[in-house]
Amino acid sequence: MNALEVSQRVIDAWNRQDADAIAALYAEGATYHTVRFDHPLKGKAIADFIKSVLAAYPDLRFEVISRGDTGGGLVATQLVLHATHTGPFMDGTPPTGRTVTYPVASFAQIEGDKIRSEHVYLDRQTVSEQLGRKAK
Amino acid sequence: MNAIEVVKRYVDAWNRHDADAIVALFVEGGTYSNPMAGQGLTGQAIASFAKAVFTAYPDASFEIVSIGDTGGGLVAWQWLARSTNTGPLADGSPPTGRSVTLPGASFTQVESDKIRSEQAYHDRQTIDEQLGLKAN
Repeated sequence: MNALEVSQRVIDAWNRQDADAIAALYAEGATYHTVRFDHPLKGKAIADFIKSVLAAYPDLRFEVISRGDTGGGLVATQLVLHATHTGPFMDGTPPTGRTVTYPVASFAQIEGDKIRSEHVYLDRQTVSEQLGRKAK
Repeated sequence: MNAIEVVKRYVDAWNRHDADAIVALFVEGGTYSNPMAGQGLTGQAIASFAKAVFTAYPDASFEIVSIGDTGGGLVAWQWLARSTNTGPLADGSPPTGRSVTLPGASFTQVESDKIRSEQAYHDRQTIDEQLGLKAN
């Protein structure tokens, strides 16, 4: 399986809202970097994060805008996240019932048929505005 | 010149704080978008945004963390912007004197030796937090 196919598998698993399948695509010891945490997530923390996202956004769907291998299996993807906020956030914030549609960029280093590390870029202020709440 | 070289030249122009050179690297009608500048800036609006950045952050520098052509001249690159806010911000508020280290990613569509579009991803809340400003 090439790197782009692995990347598509991750998106397919997200679009089935299958947290276990998503988590299984990260290699042992893989790291996940997002501005939502001041440290990289690893192992169970990645799985917990995925579950928490799907708990808040049970109908989450990623739309792929562009995807390509920048070399050596580092796959860059432009995405738009579509979801309705019908479940609580990790911090306990209750659902707002609002719909969010926001751009996300992902740079995932693929090794074999797994993700070794991923950096995700998004604008938290855009999300807060769409949820109708003040940024923290 | 290949697409990656065009983007490196473009980053050099940002590092020289040369707004005219930045604009000159875009095709006629080429667009620049990021969460702070807004979507689809062209021509002098791009120059005005760049100048506002250089005014607020006279030491702003941009480091390429990874760069690659995802196919068809769409260059995906991760970057790190470092700067100190020693000049007035775009909204006229006085300098905070604080340093900002902002990670981001850009997808830049190159056509021959020019840029057709750039979509940058970064987190505005990170900037506000580092400046000690309240998010909007």
